[in-house]
Amino acid sequence: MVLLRTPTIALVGNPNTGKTTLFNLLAGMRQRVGNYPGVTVETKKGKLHHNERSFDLVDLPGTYSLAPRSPDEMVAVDLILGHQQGEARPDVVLAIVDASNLERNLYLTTQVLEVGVPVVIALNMVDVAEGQGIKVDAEKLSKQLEVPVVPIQANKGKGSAALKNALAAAIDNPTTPKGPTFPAVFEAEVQSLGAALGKDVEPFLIRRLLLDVGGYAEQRLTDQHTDLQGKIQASRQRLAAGNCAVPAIEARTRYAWIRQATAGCVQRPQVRAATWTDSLDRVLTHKLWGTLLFLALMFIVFQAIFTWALPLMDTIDQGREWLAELVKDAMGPGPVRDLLVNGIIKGVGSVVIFLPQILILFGFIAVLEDCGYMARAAFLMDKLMARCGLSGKSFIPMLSSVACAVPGIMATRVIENRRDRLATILVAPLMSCSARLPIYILLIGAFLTEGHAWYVPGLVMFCMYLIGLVVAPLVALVLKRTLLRGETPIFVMEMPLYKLPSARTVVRRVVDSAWAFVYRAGTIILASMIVVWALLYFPNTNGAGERYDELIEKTEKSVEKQKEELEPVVDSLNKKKKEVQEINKELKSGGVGSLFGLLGPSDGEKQELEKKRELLRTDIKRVEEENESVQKPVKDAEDRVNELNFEWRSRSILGQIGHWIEPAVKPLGWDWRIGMAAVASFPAREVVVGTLGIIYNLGEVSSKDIRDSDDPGRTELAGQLKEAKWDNDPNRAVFGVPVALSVMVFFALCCQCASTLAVIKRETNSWRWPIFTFVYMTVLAYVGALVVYQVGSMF
Amino acid sequence: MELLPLELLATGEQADVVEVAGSPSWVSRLAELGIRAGTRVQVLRSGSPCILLVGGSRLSLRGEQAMQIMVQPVPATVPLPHLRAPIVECS
Repeated sequence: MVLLRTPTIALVGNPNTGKTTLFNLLAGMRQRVGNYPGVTVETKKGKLHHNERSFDLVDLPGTYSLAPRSPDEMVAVDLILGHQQGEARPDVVLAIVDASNLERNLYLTTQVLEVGVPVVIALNMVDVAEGQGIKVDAEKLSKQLEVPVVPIQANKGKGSAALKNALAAAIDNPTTPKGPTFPAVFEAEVQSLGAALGKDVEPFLIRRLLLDVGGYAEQRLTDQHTDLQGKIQASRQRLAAGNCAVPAIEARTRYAWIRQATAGCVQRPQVRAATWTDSLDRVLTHKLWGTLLFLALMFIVFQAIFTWALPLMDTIDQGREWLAELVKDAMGPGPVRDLLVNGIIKGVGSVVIFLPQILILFGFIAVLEDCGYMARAAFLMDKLMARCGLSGKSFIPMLSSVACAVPGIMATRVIENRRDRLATILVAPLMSCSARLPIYILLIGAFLTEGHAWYVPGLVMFCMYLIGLVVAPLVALVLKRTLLRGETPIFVMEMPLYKLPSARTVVRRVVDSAWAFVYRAGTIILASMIVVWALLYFPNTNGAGERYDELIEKTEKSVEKQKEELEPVVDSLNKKKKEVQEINKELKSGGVGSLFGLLGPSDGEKQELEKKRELLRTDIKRVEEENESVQKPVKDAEDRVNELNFEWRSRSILGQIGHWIEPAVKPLGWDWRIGMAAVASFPAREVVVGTLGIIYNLGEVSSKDIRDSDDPGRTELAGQLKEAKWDNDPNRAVFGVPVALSVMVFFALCCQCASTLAVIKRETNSWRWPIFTFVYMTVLAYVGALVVYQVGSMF
Repeated sequence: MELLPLELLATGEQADVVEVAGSPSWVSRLAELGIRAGTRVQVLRSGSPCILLVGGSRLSLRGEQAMQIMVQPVPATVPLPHLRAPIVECS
């Protein structure tokens, strides 16, 4: 038979059977990921080339059966039946089975046989099975099943040629396979229900309708046929009376058929040989040793994220600034330049800046998952997570969110249960991510360091992290009891055999997640950055109709010559300041070359460093004093620029919004400036530091400056915050300890992060959940800040 | 020999599954994974969650779920847990 269109092959199989490895082997590196509306699962697509022919290859989500219990599981059924919109019904189904666990794997295969599409079986992991003394006679099995069976070793690439031949042959000469036959009484019920439903519904779906009590086929079909429920109940009752009760009849029929079909095909040893996996599991799943090893592993992962990602992120930040300067120099002032610099370059930068963390975390996750460890980690953490209504599989996504919620939310894909996964996604942003750190550092440095006991700064910082750790499980529990209530998910998890991770699978997974983030989430992040830019940019003229950007440019130009004179002085000062910073870093974290910062400098080294730092500081002071006369006009001009910036932003749409919402944020102890900064930080909460810088006449302040400064309480911004006064009452300071705490609590709980929202949108495939997350977290943040301020002002 | 819930088996013990109780969807999910009347299982790690060896695979279940699986213990001298499927014809 000659097909005019490209034939389609669908790949199905149990999880952990090497399905992904086989898909990568057949489809190569050129793959596409497909999403369907309303579901969170992904299907991968690729092209298979064989003897100058090409086939479309579709990888279905790994599953143990074709009995759909949720829309997610229905995807596989719909695809095989050809019901998925835009997808052709597959011409052949490639079923991959694990040779070391043949009977169980064939359970799914018998369901596929029933659909009536030609089937080819790939008998994978024959080497692993042989290592355990299990031998499968593929030829005999093929005869008895009446389906081609090809032994392969997907991880070593063995058997792919024979497999491709078998697939091509199955497409050219399609044969309808014979699966197990259900008892006559059962088939009679299927026929009578089929007559009631009409021709459009396949016998396969009607069997599922009868067999899966409360399953997805039942939900979907009873929605369309109102009188169906009664008929199904009657059928099931008749079956139960005839000793063919559902659901037991299905397992009984299938396993009986499997036993006959595999009779004489499988040789097993008399005594099960102890494997690698057994020895490793003795330690790795041990309640004490296993848990300790897991915690040590997690520590290494996070240390790696912090030590490897932060420098990369700083490099990206510098690259962005460099590019922004380049554009600034090349173009005249105006909305287009400003859009490029403050909207697009900043927006793209804020997407790219997440990549180091995503790449590193997913590198680790992919390795741990592929070698089989992930299931053990979930096993160890299950008891703890069960207390907040989740399962062990939620642990790593939650913990990852301490670094950043974006990769954390992407890591929830390992959770099969839809409600568990949603609950985890919705609470992950509550964990205190690293973007909150600059805010904490700034405010603690400014208001809770000087004049407080030595332990106060550390304690407050600890409490800020504790807020997330306490609130996230509580919210998860509430969600699981209300919005995401339902049958307690059945926690059954397969623990795969340990194996060496495959580089191809790991790289693929990391590249996929990075691309998914940049492509799908990146566009939303960029769009929101541009919107906030516009709100801060317009209107761009003052009362006299003069354009702010031109005024600023003019002021800056007027002192350019003096600035040039100062340049060498400034350069040498900066160099010295940098040296001071380096010394501080060394003093703070550890000696040179210590990879994880575990080893600090010795006392002698410390004294030496401190001495050097003092010398540098006096030097800096001297040079600064010497050059005061030249610096004065430059400084004045800079002040003027900052003033203009302030005037501009406060007249901007966002500034007006800030004034407008002041009554709403007053109970939190905030003035319009803090309110505006909070609104402006919608795309990313760390932006609040920069915005505060602008509104407090300091120009742009980057969060890196705050993080790197040796004493954040003494930075210019901190000083300005301390001196800020209310507009209507110049004697009343805006900030005090209660206000600082209220701002910190607000940012600890709110979801001012377009990236997180974009990723939630992407992962849940709907706008409902990101909106829900934003609303509930903002309400939580408002209430938290309100309570903290009101209680704090009583003292 | 009397029947026990699976949860009460100690690490290393083997048993034959006699009955799986609970909701229909849970019973069928376990059947898909190979746990059904007639299956031999070995407990690799007891407690909640526990680890079982079923056929060739290792499965992890929680205590409240392992409670619903009634088993008949098998002396440890009987080798090899593997899947057995008795054929029962419908009347």
